[in-house]
Amino acid sequence: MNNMKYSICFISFFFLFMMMMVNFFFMIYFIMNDMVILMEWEIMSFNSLSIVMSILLDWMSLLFMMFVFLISSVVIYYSKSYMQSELNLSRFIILVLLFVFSMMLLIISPNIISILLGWDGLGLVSYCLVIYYQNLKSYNAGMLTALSNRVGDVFILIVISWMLNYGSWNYIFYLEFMNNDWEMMMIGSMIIMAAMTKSAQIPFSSWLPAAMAAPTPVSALVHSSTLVTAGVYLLIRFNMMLLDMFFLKLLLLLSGLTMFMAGISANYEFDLKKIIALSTLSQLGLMMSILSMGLPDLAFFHLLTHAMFKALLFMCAGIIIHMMNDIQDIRFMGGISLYIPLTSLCMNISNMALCGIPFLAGFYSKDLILELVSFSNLNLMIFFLYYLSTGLTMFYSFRLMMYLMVNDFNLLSIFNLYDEDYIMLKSMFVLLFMSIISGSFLSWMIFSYPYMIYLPFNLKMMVIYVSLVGGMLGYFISNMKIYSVNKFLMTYNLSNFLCLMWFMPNLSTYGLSYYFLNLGQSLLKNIDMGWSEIYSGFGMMQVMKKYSVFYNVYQMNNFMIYLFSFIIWMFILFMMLMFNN
Amino acid sequence: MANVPLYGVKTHAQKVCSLYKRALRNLEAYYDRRNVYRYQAVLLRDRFDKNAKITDMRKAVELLKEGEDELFKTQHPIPKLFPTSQGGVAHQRVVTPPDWVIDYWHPLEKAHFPEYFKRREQRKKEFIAMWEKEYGTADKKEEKH
Amino acid sequence: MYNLFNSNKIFFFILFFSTLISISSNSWFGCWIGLEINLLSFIPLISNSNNLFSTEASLKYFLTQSIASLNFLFTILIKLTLMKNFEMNNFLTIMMNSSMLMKMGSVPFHFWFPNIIEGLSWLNSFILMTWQKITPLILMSYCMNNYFINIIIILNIIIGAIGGLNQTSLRKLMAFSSINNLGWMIMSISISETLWIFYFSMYSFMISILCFFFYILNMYFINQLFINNMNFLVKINILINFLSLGGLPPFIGFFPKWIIINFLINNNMYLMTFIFVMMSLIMLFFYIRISYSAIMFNYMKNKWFKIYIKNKYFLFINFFSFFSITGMILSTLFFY
Repeated sequence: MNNMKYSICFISFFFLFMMMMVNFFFMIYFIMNDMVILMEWEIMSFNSLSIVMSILLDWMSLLFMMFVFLISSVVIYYSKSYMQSELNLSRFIILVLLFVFSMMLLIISPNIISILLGWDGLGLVSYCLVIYYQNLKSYNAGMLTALSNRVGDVFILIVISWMLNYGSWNYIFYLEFMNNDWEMMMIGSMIIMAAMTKSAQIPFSSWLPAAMAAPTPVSALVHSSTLVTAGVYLLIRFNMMLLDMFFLKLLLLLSGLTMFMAGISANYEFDLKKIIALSTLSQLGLMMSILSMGLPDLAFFHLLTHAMFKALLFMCAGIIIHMMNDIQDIRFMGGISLYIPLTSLCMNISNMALCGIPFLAGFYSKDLILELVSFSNLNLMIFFLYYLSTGLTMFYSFRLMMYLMVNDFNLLSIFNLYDEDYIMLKSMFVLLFMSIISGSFLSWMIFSYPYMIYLPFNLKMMVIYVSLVGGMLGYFISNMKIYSVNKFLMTYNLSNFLCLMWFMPNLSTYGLSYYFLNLGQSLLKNIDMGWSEIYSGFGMMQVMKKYSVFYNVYQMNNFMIYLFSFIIWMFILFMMLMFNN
Repeated sequence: MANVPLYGVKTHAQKVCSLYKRALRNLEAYYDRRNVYRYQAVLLRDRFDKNAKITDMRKAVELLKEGEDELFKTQHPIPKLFPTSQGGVAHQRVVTPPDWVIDYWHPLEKAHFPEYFKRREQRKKEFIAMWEKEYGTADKKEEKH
Repeated sequence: MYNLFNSNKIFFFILFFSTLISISSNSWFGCWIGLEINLLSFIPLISNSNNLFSTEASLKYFLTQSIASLNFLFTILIKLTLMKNFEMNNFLTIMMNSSMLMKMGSVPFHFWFPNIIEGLSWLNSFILMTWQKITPLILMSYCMNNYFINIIIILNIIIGAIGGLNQTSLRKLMAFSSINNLGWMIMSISISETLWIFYFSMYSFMISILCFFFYILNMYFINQLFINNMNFLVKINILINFLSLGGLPPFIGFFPKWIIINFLINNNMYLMTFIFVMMSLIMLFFYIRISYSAIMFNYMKNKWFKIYIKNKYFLFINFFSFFSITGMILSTLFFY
């Protein structure tokens, strides 16, 4: 622990960073030569179907892997200080490494079976990471996370059984040729459902804020940048097939609603990590919706830039929580920019990048997405969902900034804020650099030719309008004067509804278990301990016992009677024999 | 023993105090700026003080019930909690085992920390000596259970 | 082992050959003679002047068997006088079958069977449950009235299962289990003789293990199984052999039952199959009740209490139990 050189964190950091560099160079090489490598290892083959482990390396998987390696390496470096006095540090690091490993399996495989390997691994490892602090809250959160993700696993399993029709599970070969197949449509809708669970879209979105019970480095790596984007990545891979489906339109609506819902809830939330989680949810909705409009490369672009600044945002939040002695409630915070300028710098820049302030990372992807949205043929509702959510992003980011940086210091009277934890800061500066430049460098690299956008002036300026309005609202909402009227209490029911994520956490925990538990109890009482007891085991035993006792009475007769009855029987037979003839 | 309340049995005054404290905590969740909170807290105190002189118990109980109802209807969905308090984020995150657990370690485990256990044994002996000096030696008969 | 290796062994020898005489003779009188010799040689084996119960049992055995033989003789004489040669009559067949059923202690003439077994030692009851059934079964297979026999089979199966349910004496319990298995045996011999040989040999094998176990451990009642501090391995062996006898799949006892059920279904005897399976469930229930509670519920073991059963036959029996456990699996090697 004391020696930095030989600690497990440093070794893992070094390894992951080297892997990142390797992936980076290969990615450049692949992009330049427009190369794809597909490797297959046949594990077994039945009559006509073969189970293969396949690896697909193209610029997309290499780029995504590079980002995952980068974030995981800095996160592990960061946990060297964040998890300093942790007893089971090795377990923690090993879990994170396992997570990275299953993410790799997911990224590189174009085969639905080997995807399941990574997909299931992600679910399992993220469960282990969520319950890492073994208290009641994290157990509940872990169970919610694991079970929600399990739904997606089941959908992937169903997809595997549907793909049996084609004789192989290498979906990548069937995407274009089997486009109009009915089976392929089923597969596509299953895949969309699976992606919705992993990326926490609306019916399944309650697990993402709950998963914030995990340690903050885990939130930075798993629940903001990589795990939740697995669903988006899967849909990017499948995008070719989904284009004409009705289900994709449903996905557009649901992801737009997710974006909107998360944006509003983030404004009502007071838990620092949950605010960031909800903003993640909002950005995931953005990726999903742009994906369901048929622009997968934009979704991928936003996925990567978002991973950068969101991981950074979480790491800043981690430092703040660390210094505030585990306090996560932003009502306790305020004015910390005076005490921890460097962390506040990182925090503000990542927040700005999230809002899409020009020439930071988020600007390039978000601006492009929104302009293409206004460019394409959409109805009013989807249009408003997009723009309101953009405004809401600005809104909660400014509110968060005001609460953390500007307002009065509101902590307990004894505190210890310090900004000299250079291990954490160093790892954050890597991501700070990336969240400034990654937008521009990615946009130059992955788009072979620029998008042509032609818009009227007002529509072009729409993003700026909503952002300005959102920012101003965020500033005003967090200012509180003595005589201000509490709007929360005036619209108490509505506020409750919006604050608790449209009651989704309650619905997906109590709502699911309540009726089934009641049914189970009544079944246990009436059937298991009632009717079926009488009419199977217990009642059978009673009847059998009665017969047995009844029989034993006959058994206890005098011996002579038996012999006599036998002779009488023979006599009767003999008589019948005689008279029959 | 007087300060140990019977479980579930509270006097009326205790109930009112409890309501007042919970209402203050609820206000804290709504008004996070200190000066605003103080202003609202004074208003709340005033509401309580207005009814402090009521001697008619029927009316007092009625008022208490109304107060509880109002608190329930206006409780904040995200209460402001300290992390280690009940329901907080870091509640029971760190488990501190009681001291006597160390006495039940295996000798091989104890051998990892020779200095600590040497001192611990020394302290135990000193404590027993101090105890016996103050209260006398334990009766031999009582040692057997 | 006392009975087998003293001067009685000449009777054992005669018992053995009398059976061969009756099953290989080509006239009914030869069969009858074999039966009589069999009876007269078995009586000295079971009667023990030191034990009142076995004397009583031998007397009862003599009475029932002689009445059955008498009726058998009567039937074949009638056949000789009334019928022409090679001609049979339904009632005559039933009479002949009844006397044979009486001889082997089948329902509804079985009442002597548990009573007599109660007075026998384990080895004698083993002989009574296995060897003594060969002759009557073979003789019965020469002329069968299928309607009558089917009723008898069903009765055997049901009475064997229900009668054994309330028993506390191990010997009576084994007697009822034997009655139940007799139903299976009559069924198998009415289908084919090879099938019967298969079933019979498997059944004798399983019952021999159990009888020798109880003989060695000197067990006669259920509660002895509970309160004695046996070696745990012995208890497990008893459990496995009981399960095998009840016909639970991984053990050898399942094999013959499986094949019989297969034949029954091939011959469209679905109702019979249903009754067979249901009643073997009850059989299995009371087998398990014995061995399960011996291991689970009433299993007390004192730390200072150590019994070393010094008996060389244990090795022998463990060897047999090994076959009872793995026989089903090993048999796949032969039938591949």
